[in-house]
Amino acid sequence: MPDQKRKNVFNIIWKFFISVKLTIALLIVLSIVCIIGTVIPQNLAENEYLRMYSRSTYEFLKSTNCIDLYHAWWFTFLMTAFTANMIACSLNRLPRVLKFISKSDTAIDERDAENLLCFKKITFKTFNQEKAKGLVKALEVFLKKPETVEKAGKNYFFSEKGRFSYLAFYLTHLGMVIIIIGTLLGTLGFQGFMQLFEGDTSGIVTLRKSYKQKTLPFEIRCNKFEVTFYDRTNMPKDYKSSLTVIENGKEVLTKVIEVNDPLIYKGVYFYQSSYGEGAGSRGEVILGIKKRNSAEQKNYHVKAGQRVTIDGTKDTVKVNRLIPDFAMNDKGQPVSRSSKPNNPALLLTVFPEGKKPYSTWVFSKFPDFHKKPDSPYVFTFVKLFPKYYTGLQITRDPGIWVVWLGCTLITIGMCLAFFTSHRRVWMTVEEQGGTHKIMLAGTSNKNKDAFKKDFDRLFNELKSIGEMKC
Amino acid sequence: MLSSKFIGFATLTYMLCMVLYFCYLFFRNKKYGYIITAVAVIGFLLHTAGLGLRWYESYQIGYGHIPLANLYEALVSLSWTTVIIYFIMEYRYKMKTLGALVFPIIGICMAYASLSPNMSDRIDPLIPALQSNWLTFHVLTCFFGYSAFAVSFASSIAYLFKYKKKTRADSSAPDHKELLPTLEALDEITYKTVAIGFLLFSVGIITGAVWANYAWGSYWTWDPKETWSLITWFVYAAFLHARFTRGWKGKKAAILSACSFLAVIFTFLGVNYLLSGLHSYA
Ligand code: HEM
Repeated sequence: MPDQKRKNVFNIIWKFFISVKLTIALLIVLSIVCIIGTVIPQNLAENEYLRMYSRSTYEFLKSTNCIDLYHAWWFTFLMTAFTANMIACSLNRLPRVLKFISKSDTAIDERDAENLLCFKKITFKTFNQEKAKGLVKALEVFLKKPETVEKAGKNYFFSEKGRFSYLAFYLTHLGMVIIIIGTLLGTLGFQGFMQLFEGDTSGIVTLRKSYKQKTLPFEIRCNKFEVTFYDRTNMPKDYKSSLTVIENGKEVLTKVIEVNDPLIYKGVYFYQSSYGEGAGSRGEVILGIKKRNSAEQKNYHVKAGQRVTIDGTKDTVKVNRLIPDFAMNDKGQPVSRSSKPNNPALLLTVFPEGKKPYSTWVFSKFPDFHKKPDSPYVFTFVKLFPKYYTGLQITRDPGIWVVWLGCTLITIGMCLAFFTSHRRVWMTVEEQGGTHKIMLAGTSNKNKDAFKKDFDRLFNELKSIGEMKC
Repeated sequence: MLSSKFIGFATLTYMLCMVLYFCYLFFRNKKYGYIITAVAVIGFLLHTAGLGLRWYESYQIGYGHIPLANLYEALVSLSWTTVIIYFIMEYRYKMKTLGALVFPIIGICMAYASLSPNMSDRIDPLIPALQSNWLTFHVLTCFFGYSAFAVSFASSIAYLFKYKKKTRADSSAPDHKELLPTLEALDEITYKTVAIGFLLFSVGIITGAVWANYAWGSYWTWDPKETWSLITWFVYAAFLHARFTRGWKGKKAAILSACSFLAVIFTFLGVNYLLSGLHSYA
């Protein structure tokens, strides 16, 4: 019958996923994969790999995703199997756990009791109220005040402790599943960085890995950057940036961040991650200006974006753009390759009185380049004042609290798993021809050896009560 | 520096302890047990004073940080946590003989820290990323975890040693001539220390993740040290599951736990020497 067959297939798959052998196999395979991941450097550029490996090795590693193996499809596959294993086991043991978590019967059959971890019998020749109290007291000291039931002439006692210890399994394993869910949620966020000069404002983040640009729904301004060094060394002791969040043109939050103390706004974290020296588009420069047919050059200290009036005239010059590392992109537009002042250039717009304004580039390293022969002025890029920029790591991780929740559950679960156990003790007292027969049985779900020792101690105590002279 | 002197004397005391514990095993005279423990405690007090003084000295220089910042400090602190874990186990299980295996590990760590020519015992300043209270939580929990694993390594070696000597005799009967605990007790100690180590080490990994998230904005980056601690975690998780659900005890468990300790050594030392990443000490 096809139905039967389907059931069988399902059973085989189910058996596979609830086996601890699978768990151990996966743990070993994942360990090996991780070892490979630390031996083969991950996510380097092609030319760096070619320095280490031959091209054919590199092509092989690349085709098997070994150079980015934590994001390889087969790594995801392993993690999925790992998760499925944990979820299947959790479901599989649920009925059993529910049985344990619901209260056990106070009365126990002798035949059932015999099969428990510990089982002992004694007979008391004399018995009285005093001794009965002593028995209950001994159980109470051992675990908890016992529950009692009287049935068919027998007195049943039952005491237990640590039922919550069954939670250990769920807290650890579901905690791990929750962490995995958290990391998946994390992929909905982003990780990127931004370099911001003092005074600059930006809302554009360069994403890690892809180097794509992402625009934030607000902007961030670096008010000030400071770095201090350890005495007599060039090792930075501390670096801080004062940042202001600007949303819809309004300043909403200002904070001084440093390493280990980020700014958080609307789920976006701004971390102090690096700093450097360079020139931003708002940098300050010294611009030399001289009349074409004069020998005298006058220097002006200007900021990018500022307009100055040339002395002795009504002509003005505006520093339209400052590009610290001039280059042309593939569309022929001028861009800055970096913040380092490798090839500083200024785009000036000259406004001669009563005439049409015109623009010109000046380069600090190439003073004769791109001169306008018909310009009445000769401009020289005399000096660039380098400024600090702050390097910000910017992330949004919607899964972070889910990950921390999972971590907390795992920790609590492990404490329960290693230090608690569910211990149960049953006792029946039965009168038979003037003597009292006592049966003691007990079990523990974990740490059985220790339980056996404790059980023996309890039994000896009961025995001593029986021998008590009254 | 005064602290280095203290640490040097502690090293010598531990070496003496090692010899004494061996003598104890050899002569099997329980009377001397207290003397050995007293010597070990003196070593520990010198050690503690040395670490405390070093902490104080770092403030005087103007760096001001807990001595967990370079390899020298890491080795000395790791030895310190190992002594504590060992003392707890000695007290809890009322047996001293494991010391003969634990103190050589501690002695090697301390001697390597003090004597190795390429080891600097200078107090270095901390880079800004390390200036955080999380440094203390993270490193100390990891170190206590490593130490518990070291004690489990010692007890599984003791197990295998004794197992070899004891050919098929009844393993549960207490052996009066021998001071090494019964096989059962050693098995129990191995399991208990692995469990405690696993818990502490997990907390160490978690605090590391929290800190990384706070300092760098990412809780896990697959940095070699992180990856190796995960490997160690996987290996011990496999050990625990083999025991929980497949009942692996005795010899198999001892071999597995002894081998797992290799992962700990590599995580602590190998990564720094052989691979590079955020965690490299000095
Ligand atoms: C935080 C670490 C972990 C701890 C403390 C832990 C603890 C436990 C405990 C206490 C048990 C129950 C043993 C028993 O009742 O006999 C167990 C069983 C199991 N664990 Fe874990 N575990 C951990 C990680 C994992 C991982 C990473 C997996 C991977 C898939 C896993 C899969 C399993 C499986 C399949 C079982 C058997 C379930 C069953 O018998 O029904 N565990 N674990």
